[in-house]
Formats: sequence, structure tokens, C-alpha cells
Amino acid sequence: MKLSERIYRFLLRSYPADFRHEYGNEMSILFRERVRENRLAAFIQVVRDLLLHAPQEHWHMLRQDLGYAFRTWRQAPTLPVIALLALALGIGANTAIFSIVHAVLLRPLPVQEPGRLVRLFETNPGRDLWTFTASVPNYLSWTEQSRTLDFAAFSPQALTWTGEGDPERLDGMAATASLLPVLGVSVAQGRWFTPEEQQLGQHQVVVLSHALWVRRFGGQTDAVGRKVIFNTAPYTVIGVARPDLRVPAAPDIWVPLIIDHAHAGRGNHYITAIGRLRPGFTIQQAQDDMVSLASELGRQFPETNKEWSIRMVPLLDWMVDEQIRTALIVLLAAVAMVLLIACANVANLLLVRAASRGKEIAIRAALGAGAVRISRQLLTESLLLSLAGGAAGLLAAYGAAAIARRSLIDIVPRAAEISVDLNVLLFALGLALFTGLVFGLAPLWQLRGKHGFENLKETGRTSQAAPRSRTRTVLVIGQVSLAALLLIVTGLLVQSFVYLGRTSLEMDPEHVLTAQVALPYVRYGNGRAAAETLSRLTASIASAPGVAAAGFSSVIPLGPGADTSMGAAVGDGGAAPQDFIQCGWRIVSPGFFQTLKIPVLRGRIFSSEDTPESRRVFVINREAARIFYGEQDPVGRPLRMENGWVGEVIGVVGDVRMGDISEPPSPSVYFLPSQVGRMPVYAILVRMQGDPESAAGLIRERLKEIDPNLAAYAIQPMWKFVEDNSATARIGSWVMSLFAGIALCLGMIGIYGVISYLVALRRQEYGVRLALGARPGDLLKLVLRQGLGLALPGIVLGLSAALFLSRPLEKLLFGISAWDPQTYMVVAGLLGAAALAACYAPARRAARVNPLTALRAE
Amino acid sequence: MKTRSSAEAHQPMPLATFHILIALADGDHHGYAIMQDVAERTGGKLNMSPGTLYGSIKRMLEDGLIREIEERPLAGDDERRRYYRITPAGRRAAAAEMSRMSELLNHAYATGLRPKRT
Repeated sequence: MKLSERIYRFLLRSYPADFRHEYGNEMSILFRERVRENRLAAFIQVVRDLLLHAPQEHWHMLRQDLGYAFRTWRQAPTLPVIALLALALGIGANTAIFSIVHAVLLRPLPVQEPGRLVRLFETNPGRDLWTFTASVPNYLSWTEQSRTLDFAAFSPQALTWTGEGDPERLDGMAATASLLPVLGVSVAQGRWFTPEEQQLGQHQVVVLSHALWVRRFGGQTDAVGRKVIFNTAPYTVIGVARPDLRVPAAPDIWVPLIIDHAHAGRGNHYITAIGRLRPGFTIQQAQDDMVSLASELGRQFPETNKEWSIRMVPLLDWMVDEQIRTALIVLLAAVAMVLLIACANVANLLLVRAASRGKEIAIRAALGAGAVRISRQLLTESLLLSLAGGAAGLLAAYGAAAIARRSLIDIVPRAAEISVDLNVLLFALGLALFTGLVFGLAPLWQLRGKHGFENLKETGRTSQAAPRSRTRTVLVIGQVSLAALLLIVTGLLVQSFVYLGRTSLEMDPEHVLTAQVALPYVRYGNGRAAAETLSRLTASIASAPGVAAAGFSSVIPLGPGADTSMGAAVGDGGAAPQDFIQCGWRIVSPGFFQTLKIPVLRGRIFSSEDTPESRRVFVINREAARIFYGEQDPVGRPLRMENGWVGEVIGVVGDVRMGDISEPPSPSVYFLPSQVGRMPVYAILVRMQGDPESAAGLIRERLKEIDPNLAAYAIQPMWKFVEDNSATARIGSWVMSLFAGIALCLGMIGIYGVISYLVALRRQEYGVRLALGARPGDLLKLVLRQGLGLALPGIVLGLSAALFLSRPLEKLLFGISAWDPQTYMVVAGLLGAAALAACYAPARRAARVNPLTALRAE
Repeated sequence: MKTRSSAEAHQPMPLATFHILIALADGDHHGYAIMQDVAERTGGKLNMSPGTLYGSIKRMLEDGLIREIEERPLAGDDERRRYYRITPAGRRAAAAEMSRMSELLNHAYATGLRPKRT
């Protein structure tokens, strides 16, 4: 054969195999004749054929297969409908969870080169501090001395919009002029801050968020340059941020971070620092650079910086913590298992269908359809099923993604970005194709080998019954093992959530309403002024009918403001830096303890005898008493704070949960407001005798009477903070329970299908047994044992897998081990019972076989 | 094999299909002969590629417009060549296509259009 003809025969492979076998020889003859006439024209025709006609033949074949599939489905729609539902469920759930994972973990941050951005923490291993914020002087030293990073910093700052209508409290963020350059982004209108505007006196400029610009300025282009009043002081709008400026936060408004060299303490850590790696430097090099810089600062400033170091993590890792990452990965693994179980079910259904279509396939084979052609047609049906299921699942995923966005927006970082975008669409498409291939292989598997296609042509039957039921058995065992694994994980998470709910908070959040008030520095520049105003406010509120108690504080337990701490040491002087133990601190009024019904364990709480002029007094919690004083009574003993405050401990209260319910209590010190400095934001807490929401109007009204320029905001019942604190665990438990329930149902359907098939296959045998004297009850037990025999290997496999795979779950568990034996036993028992339930109907059919009918059929 | 019941079901007919029916109307031929016949009849303007030819033949076989025959009109011919014969359904379909074209031509004449002289 000439080379040109060899090449042509190779290129013919672009045609469908059947077409090639049918006409390949003639086409080669034609090509040979053409080459003799005009070689160039012949090859041009070949190229045209490859580009135009080969795809047309494939498309023609696909249309035939699709038409055939629709006709057969119309005749027997039950199976395709069940398969479609199972696939829509599996693919839809996977797509929905992937949309969350993609938005939160995979989508790059909307900044330049996000991989080169890091979050910096100040650390003090001796005090077990690993994620501390930075102080302004330290930050300035870093910017001057580091050779590997460019820095930016920011800190939350509440602002109240006054001057037009009712005052409105805004979530603000004070940021350095370097923030946008470090992020590598720009504003949408106007400009960002200059370094000069970070000085006191030149700082009264703002950059509006896109959302605020639309809401308060109607999206008009003349917003830049306008004067606005915040905290009763005039500010100028200099810019409007882009809508996607949500890194590192998404406040309503941006203001300059004031660098006050005179008053910024090196030991006062309150700003969040980020950095961008300079070209040519790696994160490890930057880490080493900053550690040596921290050591140098420790030598220069031993009182504040000795034994402090610096740690950095990639910015995205800081924004999305490990607990959320683990939870998302667990969810993704769970839905993947549900999909695999659904695929196994669909594969089983297709195997049953292939068995019933044996004669039809035999006829097609006899008429000349090769194994490749028939396999192609079966695979087309599978892919059509999976693509249709995928399309239905995608529609469900759109809705689920919208629900997820709304539910998770306050709980999971970047949840606002959850959507079904192109990447998620491609994921859904890829998943649909993959699942179509996976379960489509099942019927193809039967056509392989001498018991497959050739036997089919001769006998009209596919492979022997034993190989076919073995495939289905393996599929069911796989389903049961996956269901067992899912059930164990779910059981652990649900119990963890229950234990979380039973944890004592050492306070009573019921009937309590909370609100926040931002006090501008201009009129409330010291703690005493703030304390006087807020004391008048809470006294006024407490005197109203229906109010049981009222108080104020710098923190709402389990809510905002909880994360403030400093070192404390026993004694009234001379404590070395290493003697200080980190302690949470809170500024609270006397009414705080009564409003939350926090138990007083020793001594007393703040009262009217404690004034700004009297000795400084502290109240501590049980954990602080244990750490600082051991078995001794702390009442009357001195305590020294790291900032120089020395006070007398007057009382011990219960360990109120402040940050996270799942964390053990940490030591806390409570300060009297009039004896310490001011906070920019305070929380008002009101206990009502009835519905707590009824206090909302009362708070606003009494606040307006005291100072009309103040606004109460973020008004919500205390129980909401408690609920939100366990939101991740609650939502995770609910979703996992849903998946586990689906997996259990699909597993039962799988067992039911196989046992039903085996009962049908062995009908005659049962007839013989009954004719020979067996009782119906014996057959019932026989079939039930068969069902358990199917489930047992799956249960053992699933439990073994759980023992290996559940360790990483420990991060998400509270009060229970990943190897809790009770959970494993309950799941084993549940699956065994489910298997028996699934087998009961086929078992009864077996017991009711009529021996005469069964034997006559033979 | 699918046989359409009505000749009109094949209208409008692809050009390649019509030419193949014309080529087979006066006798049985194999693929290469059909291709040569069409090229000659159209003065080289329609040179069917193997893909066009056999794609059309496959569809015409499925539609019952032509059939493959066992007899070999030419003795000693390459055994790999297959011969085709137009069926009565094929003749009816060709006739229906001719009527359609004729009607179209009449409409064109009625508007005053005239064919280009070559």
C-alpha cells in the first residue's frame, strides 16, 4: 500500500468506527483514483472531509442514538425518571457545595497577586499569644526597617452619620494610606488617603463604600467633594471605593488611620497589619526578616517588646480560618459520597434494564451493529441521563446557592461572593459527564469478553446470571459502606452540636436586648464622661415599666467587642514582663452583672461606693481567681495590669463565655467605667420582664433625650449572639443530616433492588423448596439473611473507613471523640435494621411463591 | 433500514443526493463511477469527495432510496467495490424533486428572470 493511502486510512479514524468499517475500503479506492488524477486536489478533499463530513457523521450517529434513547424511555419511563431524580439530587448538591467552596476557598481574592499578601501577627509564646494585633509604634518600625515587605494597617472605627435626619451608625474602618497600593487596587472615583491625612487635624476625609454611595448619595457622580458630618465633626468625601473592595473587610466607610506619635503606646496592640512581599522575596524569607526585626525591637524596647515575635500567614488563610476550611471540605466529601451512592443506584438500574433489553440488543447485533456501535449507543443513553440530571441539578443549585449566600453571609467570610459562575457551571458539566461515564460503564461491563457480546448475539442473553448479580452486589456493598461513613460523621457532628447547646454560659441571655452606642471622642474624651452619660441612660431605662435591669459594657458576651486582653500579675508593683499572664478585660457597669444574671461567687460586684476618687477596684472571674490566687481567697488582694493599673479584687463572678462557646473559659478582669479610660463603642444591655424586642424603642427614646446626636444601632436580642455562635455547628449538622438521610434511603433502595432481583431469579428454586416441605417462614428468613449478608460487609467496610478518616474531624467536634464507640454501634444497628426493612417486601414475595406456578414456568 | 412512505418527505433534496439518483437512474454503479458521472455531467463543477459521496449513500440506503446489489455488472472488477441500484422509492423521490425544481423555475420565468447563457 502506498504511503499516501496509508496516511488516508489513518485519517479515516476520524470517522465513526461503523462508518469506517462499512465504507472505508471504497473510500480508499476512491482516494487512490483521485490521487492518480490530481494529488493536491485529493488531499484538499481529504482535509475538507475531515473538517466537515466526519463531524457530520458523528452528529448523525448521535442524533440516531438520542432518538432511540428517547423512544425507549417513553416506552418505560419509570427507570429514567428515578435515575434522573437521583442524579439531579447528587449533582445539584455537589454543585451547590462547590459554589460555596469556590467562593470561599478557591476564587482568588480581588486584589493584585493575592498570593503575595500576608497577615502579620505579633506573638508571645510565653503568654500563649499567637494571633495578636500590632501596636502603632511597632508597625512604624516595621515600615522603616523591613527589607522584604511593604505594609498597610487598619482598625475598626465606628462613625455616626449626623447632620441629616436621624443619626445613623456606620461600620467604619480606619486604614493607612498604603492600604490600596499594597492591595494593588484603586478607588472607583476620586482618590485614596495621603500619608499627610493620617495626622491629627488633617484626618477629616472619608472614602465611601460603593454600597453607601448608592444608598445615601443615589449613586450620583458629584458625591466626591461633598461635606458630610460624622460624630458631629465635618468630613470631606474624597473618593468612592470599587464594589469589589471587600478585602480585607467591607465597611460602610473608610477613614485615615491616625498616627498619633505622642500618645501611641508600643504596648498598645490594636491595629491589624498586612504586608505584600517585595519582588524576589519568598514568605519564608520575609518571616525570617521579621523575626530578626522583632528581636531587635525587643533589645531596643525591653519593657514592651521583650519576648515578642512576629508570625505571618497568607492573607486568605487568615480570612478563612481552619475550622471553616475543615467544615467545607467535610461537606464536599459528604456530597461526593452521596453522588457516588446515587451513581451506584443508577448503575444498578441500568444493569437491570440492560438485562431486560437482551433480546433487543441481540437483534441489533444480528443486523450488523458491532460491539462498538452498541456500546456507543448505551454510553450515549447514560450521558444523556447524566446531562439531563445535571441540568436539573444545576437549576436546584442556583436556588441553593442563593439560600447559602443569605444564610452564611454573617458567619462565613466571602459568603457574599457565593454564586453559580462559569467555574461552577464547568464543574457541574464535568461532574455530569464523569457520572455518566461511571455508571454508564456498568452495562458495558457486561458486554465484554466471551460471555458478553458474542454470547449475546448467539443466545439473546447477556452474561451469565452470576457475574451480573455479582456486579450489583459489589455496587450495593459500596453504597452501604459510604452510607455508614456518612452516618458516623453526621452522628458525631450532631452530638457535638447537642453538647455545645448544653454548655453552661454562666449567664442568662433570655429576655435581654442589646444595642451599641458609639461615643465620639470630641464630646466623650475620657472614661468618666462616658460612664456618667451611660449611667444616666441605663438608670433612665431601668426605671421604665417592664424593665427588670439595665447596664452597659465594652463587650457583649459572644458578641462584638469580646476580644480585648492584656497581661495581669498578682501584687501591686514590680512585676517583670514574664510574670504577666494574658487576661481578657472588660469595662462594665454594676448593672451588667444583674442584667445577665451572672452569678457572684465571692465578695461583691461594683456599687455606688466605687467612684472615680475611691481606690481602683476589679472584679475577676472564677478562672482568673484559679490562675492568679489558686486556693486563696482573692477578695481584698491586689492585682496589677500590664498598663500600670493596680486595683483591689472585690469580687469573683462566674466564667461567662465571651468569645466562642466551644472554647474553655479564659481568665477575665472587669473594670469600673469611671475608673478607666474611654472606649469608642459601648454595649447597652436591657433585661425585660417580657419580650426583649419591646426595649428597642425605649433605648432609642431615652438615648435621644440624653444626647440627640447619638444613635443606637445593631439592636438585637442576646439569644441571637448565642445562636450565631453555634451557627456553623448547627448548619453543618443540619446539612450533614440531610445528606446522611439521602444516603441511607439510596442505600436501602440499592439493597431492595438487588434482593428483589435475586428473589425473581430464584423463584423456581423457592417453588421447589416449598414443594419439598419448606415453610413460608423459612423462605422469609432465608431472604432476610441474604439482605443482611449484603449489608454486613458494607457496614464493616464503612466503620473501618470511618476509624481512619474521622481523625481530621476532631477540629469540628465538641465534647465527643471521633472514635466514640456508641456512635459506631448505633450506626451499625441502624444500617442493619434498614437493610432488614428494605428486604422485607421481597422476602414476603418469596414466602408467597406458588409452587405450582413456579414449577410450571420451568 | 428506514423507508419513508412519501416522496415529498425527502424534499428539498440535498444536491449530492439528487445527483446520485440521476447517476443511478440509467444503471447500477459503484461509488467511483457515480462520482465520475456527476463530475462529467456538471462539467467538473461538482467534484464529490469520498466523505460526501459515502455519507450521502449511507443516508440514501437508510431512507430506502437506493439499495446495494450482489451482482457485479463488470467482471474482474475490484472486489472491494460495492454496487448500488436506485429503488422505486428513489425514482419517485427524484421525480418529486424534479417537479419541485420545475415549479420553482416556472415561478422564476414568470417574474421575468432568464437563465444566464453559458
